[in-house]
Amino acid sequence: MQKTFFALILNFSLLTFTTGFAYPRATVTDDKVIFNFPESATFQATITSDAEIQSIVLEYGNEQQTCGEVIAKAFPQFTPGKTVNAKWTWEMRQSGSLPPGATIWWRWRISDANGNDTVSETKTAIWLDDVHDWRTLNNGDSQRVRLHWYEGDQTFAIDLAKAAYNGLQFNETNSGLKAAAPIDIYIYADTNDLKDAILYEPSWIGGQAFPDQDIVILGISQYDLDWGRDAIVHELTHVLVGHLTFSCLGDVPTWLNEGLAVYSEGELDPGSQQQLEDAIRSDTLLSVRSLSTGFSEVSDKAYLSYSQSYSITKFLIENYGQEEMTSLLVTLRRGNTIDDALMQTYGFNVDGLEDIWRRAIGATPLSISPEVQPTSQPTPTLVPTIVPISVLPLGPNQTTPTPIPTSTFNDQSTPETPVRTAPPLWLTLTLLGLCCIFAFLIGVIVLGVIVRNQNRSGGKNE
Amino acid sequence: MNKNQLMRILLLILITISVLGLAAPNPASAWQLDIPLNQALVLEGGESTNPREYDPATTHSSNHKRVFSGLVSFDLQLNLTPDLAERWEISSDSTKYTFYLRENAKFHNGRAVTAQDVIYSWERAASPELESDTVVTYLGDILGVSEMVSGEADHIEGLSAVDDHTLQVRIDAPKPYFLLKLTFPTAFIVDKENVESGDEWYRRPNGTGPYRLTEWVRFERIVYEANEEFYLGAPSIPYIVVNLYSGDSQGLYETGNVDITSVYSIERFTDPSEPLHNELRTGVSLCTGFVVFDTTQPPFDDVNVRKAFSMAFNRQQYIDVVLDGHALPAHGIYPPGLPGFNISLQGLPYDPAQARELLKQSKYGGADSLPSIVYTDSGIGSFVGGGTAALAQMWKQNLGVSITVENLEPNFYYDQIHTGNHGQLLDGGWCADYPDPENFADVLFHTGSGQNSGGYSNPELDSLLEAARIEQDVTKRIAMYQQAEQILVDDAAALFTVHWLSYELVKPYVRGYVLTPIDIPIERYMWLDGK
Repeated sequence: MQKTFFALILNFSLLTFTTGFAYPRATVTDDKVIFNFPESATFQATITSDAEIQSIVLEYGNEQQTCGEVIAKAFPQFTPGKTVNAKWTWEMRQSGSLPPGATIWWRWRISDANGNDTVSETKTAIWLDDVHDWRTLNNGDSQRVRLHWYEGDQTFAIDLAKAAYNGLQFNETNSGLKAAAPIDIYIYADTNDLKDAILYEPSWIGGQAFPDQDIVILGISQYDLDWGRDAIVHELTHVLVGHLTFSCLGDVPTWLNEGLAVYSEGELDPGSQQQLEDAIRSDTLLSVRSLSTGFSEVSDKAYLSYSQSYSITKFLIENYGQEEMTSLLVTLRRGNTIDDALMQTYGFNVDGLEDIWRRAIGATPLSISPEVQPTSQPTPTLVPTIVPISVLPLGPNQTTPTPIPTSTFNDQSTPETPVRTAPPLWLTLTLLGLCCIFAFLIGVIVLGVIVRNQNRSGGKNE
Repeated sequence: MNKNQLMRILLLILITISVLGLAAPNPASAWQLDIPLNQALVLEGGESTNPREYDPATTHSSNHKRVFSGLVSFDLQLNLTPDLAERWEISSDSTKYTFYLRENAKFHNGRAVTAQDVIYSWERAASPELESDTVVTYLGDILGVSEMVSGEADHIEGLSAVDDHTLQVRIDAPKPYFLLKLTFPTAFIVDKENVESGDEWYRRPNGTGPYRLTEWVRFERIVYEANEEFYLGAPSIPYIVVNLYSGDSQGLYETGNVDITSVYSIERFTDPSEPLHNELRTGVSLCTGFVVFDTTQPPFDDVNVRKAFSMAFNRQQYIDVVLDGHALPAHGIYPPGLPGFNISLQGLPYDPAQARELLKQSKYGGADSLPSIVYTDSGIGSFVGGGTAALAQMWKQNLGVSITVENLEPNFYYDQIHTGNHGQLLDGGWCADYPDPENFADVLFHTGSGQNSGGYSNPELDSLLEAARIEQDVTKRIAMYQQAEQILVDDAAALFTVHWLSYELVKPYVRGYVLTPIDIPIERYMWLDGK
């Protein structure tokens, strides 16, 4: 595990700065990145060498927590020559969105016909939308949080910054979560501006946390400060959970991550509380296990998922304590499943948590029979039995008569194509019978004719 | 078919869901297109910026089976069935195939398909200029293909057109699986005039398949229209719309914007109380995940190092933690269900102490003396998938070895791998193109195979695989492939990880859908009922 963090210099255009050195064999000029925010970043440079340039590799990446050193490589298409214009585009739609404020780095690796290899200077740039006039709040606690915004006065920013500091304090006291690195918070003027800055966001998105990059983004209107204060704490908590639990082999289930985030906001808002109580009354709570890997895209269901996660997490913290919660998170970081981590920490697994939590909030026990209840143990997987292909039929006049059977599995939903290989038995027998009767009648007639002819002949003879 | 195609999609999903959202109301975006969506199967997908991935002769995926077709194909039960070829005859020595093309087989522009079109397509695939890395694998049994690929011949000797609708193919030996290989896109038929119409011919292909590609807006959508003149009968679904990079496919399914999706929130949809639970289809895929050791590079030129890396891998923890239990352990190369799969196979066990001991016994003497190790993966930027991260962690924890991850641009990943531009470790994986063990052991590990990206070479294995190719007794043939698998395991030719399972959501109005363990063009078997 290695974490690299470059000092964030907020220029918010295409400010670049160097961190490496160049080998003088090929010359790299006009070396830059052009942003088409938020869809792509195009790296380009003019490369000149005394010998024909035969290979150009763009080495690049973005600063984030990773497992070991990571270098991305791209291969610009070019025609070999002594002067080459190299260009490659990072399509964010293919990779997923980088968060606004992320630091991108790159360098060019060049080989020429003389066997010379050149590595250009490493450059960096900040991935941010320059349509906004970003400002940064400078105050005494920038060691932990740096707040960036572009709409509203300084009072607005200070208000949100205070909410952030209070959230940090709450998490440290109540959940044992601390910031391991400074966190950059980008405040968009509203959710529409926020959505313009990222790709693939859920339809109900209000903010996003990028724990691996210590970045939080939110769309907060000046007229919605109450919501904004809660939201900023919510997203900060995700980053803190990420700092504590970052692991190359381990993960935090969604219900726990979101539960901690909502818990850090304080009490549920009245609407969410009502929705939770309705679900308890109508026995429509979701199972804990089903909240492990992401929430629904359907907003009502997503809201209930958040409220339930809050309720479960609150139950754990307030009944077993903050230290146990920290222990649970650390156990997950060590590469344990959530079942094992819960068992080690509290003495019950997810199913046990389901039972005890439902009992505590007065909900009906999960009523699904054990045979069909989702568990940590997957049911045996049925696999098809495929018959191996055998030697093909031999013979000079062999045609391809029937498909080669290679499988015995079948699916009931396959459209049934009637296959008629022979007439039904009853029809065959009937026809056979009719044929017999017909043959019998013909025989009788023929026999009659013969007998008559014989009688006539006999008569003449006689 | 390389598993990385699938993994690229998973990578995108993982990146998308790796960020955490906060609820806020917002109306769903509208979706507009000038075709009746109640007559369209709507899917979500991506696209490559590498034209070679859209050319049947050079592609590594099976996406082309909508637009293009070949002489034979698989039906929904994986039976090999006639396709462009209505029937065929096989000589007494099983080395000469005479294919009779359907009289009604036409390209999308109405021109009849002839035997000359087959010869053109296959000779084009084998031309040195095209540098196809699949042609020898899938067409190499035909006499003269290797000679044409190497530039020693200007045509494929083993092909001849008897008349417009009769093609003779001679192969180098009686190989039971020869017809199966013709189901792969390398053997599909292209139209010469179309191919020679310009560099971007693949964006307006004149194929022979059940669907015509009628619109392709870069990074927006691809629209297919049913080929009413399709020689096996017009497909029931009039349109297929693939929205490109339109969002998280599972979320789009939930909001009614796509009709079929892969599932990553498996726990949620396997919960019987989930309303969409009944729309979940599960099954196996004939796939095996593995890490490729480049045996031509230090330190993996030493079998003890390969074994050490294999035995430092905790397969069960990988399945439980990284994949939430939704995979089967892979101890060897053949997936469950494939002929040759050996449930009794003893793979290399997880044994960190023994792994460290093996590293000491290697010619490198231990972790401290190993050269820098680069793990090559397909990816963009600095994101590392959970599987790769877990491997890095296990090797570091159990062997004291740190690796560098190299993310190669996915669009040109295979091109780079094929030219040897990769680290000593590669993210690998293979899904069956056809249900035969030859497609795994021989294609992936025979010396010099185009898909043997680790450069593994073992004369004993080669001899066995070459004998298996022409073994006429099916029982003996399967036994030989099982023996080959044991050699691969004993020699730690690769680190076998898991066999993936399939989880798909399918709308109730999509009828005739079958989750097949091999990627076959199922749309023409499907219909929409009440969309």
